[in-house]
Amino acid sequence: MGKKIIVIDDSQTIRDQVGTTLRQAGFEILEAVDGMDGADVVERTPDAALVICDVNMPKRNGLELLEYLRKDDRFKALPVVMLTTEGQPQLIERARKNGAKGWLVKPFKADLLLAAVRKLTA
Amino acid sequence: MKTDTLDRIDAIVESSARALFVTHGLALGDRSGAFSATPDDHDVAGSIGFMAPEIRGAVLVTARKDVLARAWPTELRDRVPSDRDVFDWTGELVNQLLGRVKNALVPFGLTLEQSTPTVVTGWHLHRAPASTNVARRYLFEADGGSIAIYFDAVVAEGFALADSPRQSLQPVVEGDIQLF
Repeated sequence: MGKKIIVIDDSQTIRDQVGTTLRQAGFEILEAVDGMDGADVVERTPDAALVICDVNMPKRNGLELLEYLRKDDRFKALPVVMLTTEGQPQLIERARKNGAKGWLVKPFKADLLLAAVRKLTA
Repeated sequence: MKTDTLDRIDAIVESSARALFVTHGLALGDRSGAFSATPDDHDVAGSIGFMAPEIRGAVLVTARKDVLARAWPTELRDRVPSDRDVFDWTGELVNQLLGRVKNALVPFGLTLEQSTPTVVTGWHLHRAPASTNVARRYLFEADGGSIAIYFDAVVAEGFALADSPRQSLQPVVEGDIQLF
């Protein structure tokens, strides 16, 4: 089995798009539909190699999820990449300060996403 | 709102829409002049709200499902999108459109918060008259039909975008990735 990537986005299309790109490269994909669901999937997947997370989502947004994960010793080292329509420098800085490993602005380019995932899971 | 600011918002919405749809393989053609009613054949609508201290409102996109299906992501084109797929994709398209508009406005001193999208489907969808003090309409021809975009907002009196962009506020470009 390939390394496990958790994809958190409230759009099924985006989850499918990211999942298809990464499955073809040999990764195993787990999905979550919002920040609350994402926390549950992370809890259930202690061997996850990476989280790819949207920012604007219902229930708990991606930056709140990132901050939640960083407060838990079990997930402090888990790499998180934000995949979002947001490009504001202050939001990117907030993510960086909370330990995010990358910021990708939608619509994403599959080759760039795959290169980043490979680098962060190597 | 000053006329100059309105003109610039018009230009930002139009260029954002063109850039978004062409990225997804659907070039927008000529923009029609003023129109008062949603085209009769539009059967799906996606809307998303935004707000800042000086402005609050919503962006609405309407079209026929089969027209928006032509912008279906390349990675997923081995399957024909179902209606459910198109509804989800409509919400994501309006989200990505507002994202582009927001990112273009940031360097001019306007930072918008946003909601999550809502999608409606039905026959003979028509946009009710807006009660906002800004109500902009954009109707584009596209392959197979038209796409309408509405930008409705309540704007504080005298609000104006900064005259020139601030370099320190330049957002990350769509499609780019930053690794930390």
